[in-house]
Amino acid sequence: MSESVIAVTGLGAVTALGIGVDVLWAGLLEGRRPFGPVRAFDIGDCKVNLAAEVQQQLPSACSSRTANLGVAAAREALKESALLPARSRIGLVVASTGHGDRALEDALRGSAGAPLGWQSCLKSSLADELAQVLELGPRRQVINTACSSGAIAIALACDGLRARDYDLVLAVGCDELTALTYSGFNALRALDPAACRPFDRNRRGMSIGEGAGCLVLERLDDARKQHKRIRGLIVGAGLACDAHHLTAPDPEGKGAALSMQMALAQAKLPASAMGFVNAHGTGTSLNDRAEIAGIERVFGGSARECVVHSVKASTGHCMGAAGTIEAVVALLALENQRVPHTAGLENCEFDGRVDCVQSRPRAIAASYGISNSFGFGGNDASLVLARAEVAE
Amino acid sequence: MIQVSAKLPPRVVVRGGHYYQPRPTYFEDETAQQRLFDETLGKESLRRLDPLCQGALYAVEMARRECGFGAGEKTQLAAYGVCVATAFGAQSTRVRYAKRLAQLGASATNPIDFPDSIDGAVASHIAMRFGLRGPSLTFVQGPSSAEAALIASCRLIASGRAERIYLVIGDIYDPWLRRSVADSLRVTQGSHAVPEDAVLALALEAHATSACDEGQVFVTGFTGHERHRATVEADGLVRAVTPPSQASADFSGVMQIAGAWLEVCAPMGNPEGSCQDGPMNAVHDNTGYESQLLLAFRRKVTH
Repeated sequence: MSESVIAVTGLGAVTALGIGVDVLWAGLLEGRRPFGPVRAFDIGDCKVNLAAEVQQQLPSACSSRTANLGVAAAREALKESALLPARSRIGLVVASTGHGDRALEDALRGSAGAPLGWQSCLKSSLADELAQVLELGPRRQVINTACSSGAIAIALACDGLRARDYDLVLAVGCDELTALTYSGFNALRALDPAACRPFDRNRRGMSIGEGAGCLVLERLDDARKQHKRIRGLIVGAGLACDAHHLTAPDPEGKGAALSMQMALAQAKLPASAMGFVNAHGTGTSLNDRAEIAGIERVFGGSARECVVHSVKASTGHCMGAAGTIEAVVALLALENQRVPHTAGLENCEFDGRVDCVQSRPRAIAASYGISNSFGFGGNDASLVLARAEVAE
Repeated sequence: MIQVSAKLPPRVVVRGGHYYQPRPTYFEDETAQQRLFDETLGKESLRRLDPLCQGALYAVEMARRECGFGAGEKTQLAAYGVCVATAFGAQSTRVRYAKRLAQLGASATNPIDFPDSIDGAVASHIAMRFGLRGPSLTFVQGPSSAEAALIASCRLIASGRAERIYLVIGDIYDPWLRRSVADSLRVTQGSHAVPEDAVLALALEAHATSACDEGQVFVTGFTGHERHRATVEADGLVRAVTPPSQASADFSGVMQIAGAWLEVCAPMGNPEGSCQDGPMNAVHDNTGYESQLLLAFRRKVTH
């Protein structure tokens, strides 16, 4: 088992709930919904004015807010992991959808013909900055598969560890709130004028957030040898594509189901072993329906007992960071044996089809859980996570 | 003949490929290429898709034709995926969207442009057109994107998570960005770096399931993320040895093609993390090194 299993030895998170994993967890259990009018920029003639922004002071080591969010999450995770290998044996896999947008916006708002700081538009500059500030080596990867980027970063980081590209790797997802992203979802009429309500009959769309999540990953044997505290395990990852539509999910949830099935296959576990599904759960009508359809495909007759929740009602949709933040939450759920409820969910559309957690957190007795991340273009990723005790 | 160790991944076959440049070289018929390009993509794609996306779709289609994948090919296959590498992504659409937002406001933006401006949209359009339901990945790490995508593709195939991956590598510059990059590089890096447009598509397959001919080019081994020295040892097995110095600035890989090692490398900043200080030769044509792979395939040569 230990050959393919990856240990998580550090967690970090920054969301609108605050800075730090403990703050995130407490906020989710309380069902907080830190949404408010957008402060980062003038929303102009956008019809909805609501987002989940990080209010706290961030590190100022980097040139972009996205990178500073990533630094804050990574520092927390690295502090926990403590013992680090040589700098050159540390990898970094970064996920972001919007890095460079602010630089582009600034350049376009500047004087005509002003040179664009084009290096800032390269997403590799995000990894370069993070590596410089965190004093990491040259092994860096940057991916952008829209909203599934964070989960895919974790999957690729695990692959790199198994191939011994590095001995320890940080999987970091980070995205700030930008006018380009905000106006894009506004143009698609995908924003809920109230805070998002995943799975609710009255849901009207998503709410955008910003933040960062970071997981420090190591091969299980290495982590054990160093007597590190293991926060959980990554035992499977599935990558798939709807191949259906650029913005709408496959209504039958085929891609979602495929990514979950592939993750379960890698983990060599049946769906029945999963204690919960940390859903992508954006709150748009089509996405939630497709995901529940996908869960039904995977869980079959036992779908009704499948515990499902979404954290986006408390963090907003943090784009490229979402997959990493939600993996952190899934690991905390396994560690604490509690699944946070979906805040704002009052009248569940899927009652009788799956077991959506509402009103209050749910106690569980589970060793495994799934975290789903789905993005534009039908880019799907699922992670199967396990509690640390499974490795013993 | 070099043996493949059980410890090494199964062989990955370079089944076919196509290298597309919007401005063909002197020995190609530009008019004929343009006509074929237009016919292949169709009016709808030409009207609204990002130029990089157009080039990628065309290159993949031509690679498929070269491989003999016809209309009768099974579609909607979970085992077929796509992996895209690009330094700037769908930048033309992104710049167009951002310009309208900055100059005319949110209500003037085109809702279709927004999802198309996301880097991952290129892979998504390829997946949609060719029914690829397997992994869909997009690497956006500047000059080293191609190596990362190549390695990830081989790993997906070698681990059995995909039977075929269309590896697509390229950049097609927005004119404004091209000018900015060229001006910047002329000042800071010397004159060798001129942004160029190109897209390379390769069809990679698992040897076990490929219907390829004997003598096909294989990727039998691959390593990545750092410069490696590859050796063929007395027992005939290939092993990659990481040199003692770990301070390499390169994000590199070596891969074995038909018995010889081809080294591909692209700088990714320097160890201190500054993108601007690193050599930028791969940015001018993000496909440069990987083109060697295609050339090796076409000419059946070894390096």
